[in-house]
Amino acid sequence: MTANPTPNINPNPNSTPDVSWRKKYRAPLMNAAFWGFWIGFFLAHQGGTTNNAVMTSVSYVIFTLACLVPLVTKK
Amino acid sequence: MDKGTALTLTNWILAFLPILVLLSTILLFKWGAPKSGAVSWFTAVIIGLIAFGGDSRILALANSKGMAMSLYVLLIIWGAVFLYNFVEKNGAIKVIGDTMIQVTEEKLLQCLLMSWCFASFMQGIAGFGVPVAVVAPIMLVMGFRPAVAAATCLVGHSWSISFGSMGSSYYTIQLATKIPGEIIGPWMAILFAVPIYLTGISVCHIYGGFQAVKKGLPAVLITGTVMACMCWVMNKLGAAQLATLIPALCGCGTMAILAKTIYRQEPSVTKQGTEKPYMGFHMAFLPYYILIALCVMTQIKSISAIFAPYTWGLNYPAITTAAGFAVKAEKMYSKINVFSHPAPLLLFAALCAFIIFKMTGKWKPGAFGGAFKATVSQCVPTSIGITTMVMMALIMNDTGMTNLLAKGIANSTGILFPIFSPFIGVLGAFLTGSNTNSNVMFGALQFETARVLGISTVIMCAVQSVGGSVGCAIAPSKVLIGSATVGLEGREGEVMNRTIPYCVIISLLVGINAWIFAYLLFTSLP
Repeated sequence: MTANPTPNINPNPNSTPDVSWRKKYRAPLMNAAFWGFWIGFFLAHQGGTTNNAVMTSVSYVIFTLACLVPLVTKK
Repeated sequence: MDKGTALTLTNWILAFLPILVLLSTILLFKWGAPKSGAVSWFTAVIIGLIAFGGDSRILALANSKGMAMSLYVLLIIWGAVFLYNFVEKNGAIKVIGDTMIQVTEEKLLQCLLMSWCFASFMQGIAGFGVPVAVVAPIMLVMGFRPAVAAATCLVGHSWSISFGSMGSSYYTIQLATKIPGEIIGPWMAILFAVPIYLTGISVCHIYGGFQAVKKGLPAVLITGTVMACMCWVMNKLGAAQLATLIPALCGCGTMAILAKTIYRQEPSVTKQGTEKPYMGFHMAFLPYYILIALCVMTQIKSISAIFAPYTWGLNYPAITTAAGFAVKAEKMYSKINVFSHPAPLLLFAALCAFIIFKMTGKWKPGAFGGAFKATVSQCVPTSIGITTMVMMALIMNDTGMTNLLAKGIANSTGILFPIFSPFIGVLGAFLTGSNTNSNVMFGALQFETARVLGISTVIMCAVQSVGGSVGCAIAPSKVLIGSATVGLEGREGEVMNRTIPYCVIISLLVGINAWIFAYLLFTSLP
């Protein structure tokens, strides 16, 4: 899932690979974002159809957080 | 509908900004779809709120519609990718690929057969991204490079979308424009002649440049003529819903004949049959046979009537932006029927194949778990990309940005409008990933513009559908399907870079064809 799929060659096989937090938490955060969109979907629909400002606002917060995940964790 | 923000250059540029952000981040910065989609969603939200009179409720409803539409598309992607992984883990994809190679050793002909004819056949019965999701991975196994497999499938079957999926887009253009099918259908078929030939030539060019075009031209001309004629004949016979399926089948047959005649090659290496294949071709292709049979069954009215009540969809109220742009209420928006939606069919095909594989001893232990894990890891990033892009498109739609974009194109082009008309269809398909949705969005606009200009409404509305069909080759949601199924997640830009030039050239030539029809040849046509 990288824009430039260069193979990760570690010159010293005995050393612990330096994995950035982005890479380490990418999969769980993307999964969380994925489920976040569906929660946001429910809230946006309910908030929009019933004109409930709280639900609408919470849906924006969730969508924003979910959209930030790929921006932060992806190259 | 209509009114909305005034058409000025500044507003037009602002309306175009989310698309510009999306395109530039994917094509120039080489970002993956989830990241580009997220940024363009933010852009659309900000512009919608500031410049187009949207409020938090309108945008929340637009986001919700976007999610509902995404759900429809994502279920297909997840189903198709799962079926592919399920078949692949049992070793059947390798058998299919090996068999397809045996039809002809000529790689160019294999490429045309799979991406131009077979993918269109799949479009005829399933559509909604299934042709790319199914054919591109098979081409990968046949030895084509991933980007070539995805790009040729996307471009190759883009002629077949309007009459594909049993004619869903064809019916939509009738609903949007009130032009009867028996009038618009044959004109659509005539206008599709150009894309039929050009998509074939494009496939050759993507595969091997002008050398391949020269080599493949006889096959493209012969098969293209057969498919174009059959498309028109089916429309004239009043069976427009089969005007992709039958021509594509005839195209596959013509290709097979050409492989044994004009393109006949003596086998270069005689393989000794020391190693018996794990399973035969028909057994390997069984899940897809079942899928085809199920898709045909969905078209039988008496059967589909039984399942008609089992439909899910959301209702949305009518809304009006502060700028006066009105969006009508929607009932059962982006509805999902348990029988006609491709996802349950894909899963049912997988279930049937599992039972038969198990009974015949072809089932590999752990294949189910492996297929499920692979599907999740492939589909989550793709799903986020699609979701953000469709949400962006719906914000643009519901705040009047899309309408303003189309109006701007129509107003500024004047007498040259027919040349730019297919690009409006392309824009709709690009934003929504669907020829049907493109026709819903712009069908009425094309009709009105043609009426104002005093040219044939039938031709311009037919061009709208043709443009929407061709535009699916560059729609991010379709590109994402192609990229995900050939293992190019995060490198969607590579595939899109390949498909965009062909889409632009084909659309331009369709536009020139439409201009000649509208202003020179058929000036008296209503």
